[in-house]
Amino acid sequence: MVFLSQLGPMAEFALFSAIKVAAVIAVTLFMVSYLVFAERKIAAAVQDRLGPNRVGPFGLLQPLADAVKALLKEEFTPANVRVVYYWLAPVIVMVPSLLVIAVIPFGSQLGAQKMVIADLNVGILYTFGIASLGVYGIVLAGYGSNSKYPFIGGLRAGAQMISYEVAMTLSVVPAFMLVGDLNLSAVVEHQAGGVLRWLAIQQPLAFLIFLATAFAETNRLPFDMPEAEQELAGGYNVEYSSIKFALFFMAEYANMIAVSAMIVTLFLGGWTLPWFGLDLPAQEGEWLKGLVHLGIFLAKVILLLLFFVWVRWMWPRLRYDQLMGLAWKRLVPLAAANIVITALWLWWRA
Amino acid sequence: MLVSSAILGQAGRRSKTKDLAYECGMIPVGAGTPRTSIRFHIVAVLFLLFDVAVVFLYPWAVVYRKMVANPETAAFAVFGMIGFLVVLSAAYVYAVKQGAFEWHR
Repeated sequence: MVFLSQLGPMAEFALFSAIKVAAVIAVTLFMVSYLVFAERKIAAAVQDRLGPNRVGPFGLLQPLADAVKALLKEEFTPANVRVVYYWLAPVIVMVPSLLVIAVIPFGSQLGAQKMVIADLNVGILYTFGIASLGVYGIVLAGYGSNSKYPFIGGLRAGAQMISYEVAMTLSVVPAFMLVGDLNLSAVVEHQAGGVLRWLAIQQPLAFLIFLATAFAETNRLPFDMPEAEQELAGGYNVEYSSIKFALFFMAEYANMIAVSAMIVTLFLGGWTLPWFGLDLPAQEGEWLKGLVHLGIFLAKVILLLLFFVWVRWMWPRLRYDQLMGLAWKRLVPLAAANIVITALWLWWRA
Repeated sequence: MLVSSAILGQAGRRSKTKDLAYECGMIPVGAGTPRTSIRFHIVAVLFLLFDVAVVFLYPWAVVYRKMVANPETAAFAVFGMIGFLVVLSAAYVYAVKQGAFEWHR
């Protein structure tokens, strides 16, 4: 610990940021692998099957086996693809989902460090900006594959994601009218002090719209038209194999984690819990409290992820025209009306 | 990570059939990127319009509470944005009337 005190502020910032980035990426990727496992187990339970149970106790080592398998599979690039885009697409899909987590406060404080990688004062704009970059990867994958199913899948995914993006950005505006700050840490602090102060309770309509659009943004059922197996044979990733296919798969789950973390931060109180004084940030000496805050955040995210999985196996898929109709004709006007109502209500109260 | 599979993975044989685009085992018909419905383009343009417009709402949302609390700026904060939203919803209603969101005819 001696050399820490000798570091300049810049070097210290760089060191701690590097540690936080490495830790967050490690935790996210770990969660991705076990989320896939959890999904398969829950699916099995829903459909009265056993699910993966051969590798390790209860099949717990299955994610490891899957990773090794993906790496050892044949790397195949079909002759007719546009090679540069074909190789670029999996990366462009994967990276934004990890970048989004950078601005999310996943705990209060550990030692002197705030538990957020980048405490941006325009946090939410950054999130939406980066999140929409994921569309490029999917459209590129469809275009780069130079084949009909991926092309149609990519186009559908693009159209779906940008449509729901509008509803999503509109839906959170009322929440920020209440908070008065775009910084996500400020959003969490605003929600401290009781469940009734959570924005999911104060802005239920915004919360529901955001939840629905979150499903659409991550291409999950009931909005998984882009990869509708029965008609597109898998969508934009049909022509991919081995680790490149695995990257698309991981990106979907990483996206789910990112979006769940967003929902927890924006609407479900982030790392706060209204009991035992846990809604106040930990002070410099309170290591235990800091760790408990990390645990609370993770627990909320995991509960939300299980909800995502549960919905997938319980709901039928929407038809494509219903899907676009829902975004543009229902959610967008609803979200806009919510803004006006909140504005008038705040005006009347002031 | 991307190249790891190329190094570690099994080298497969290539053949003419394997290099074809996948269409459930049928011989591919026509171009790989077929002509598509103009609707996708319309949706993309509308997205640009609305999303850029929505970004203007964010700075307004941040200062709204303070502006409303101050009686001098309250009316400006409320009606300024309501005027903006009226223009925006006029564009929205026009798009709906034109059938931009109708996917089957």
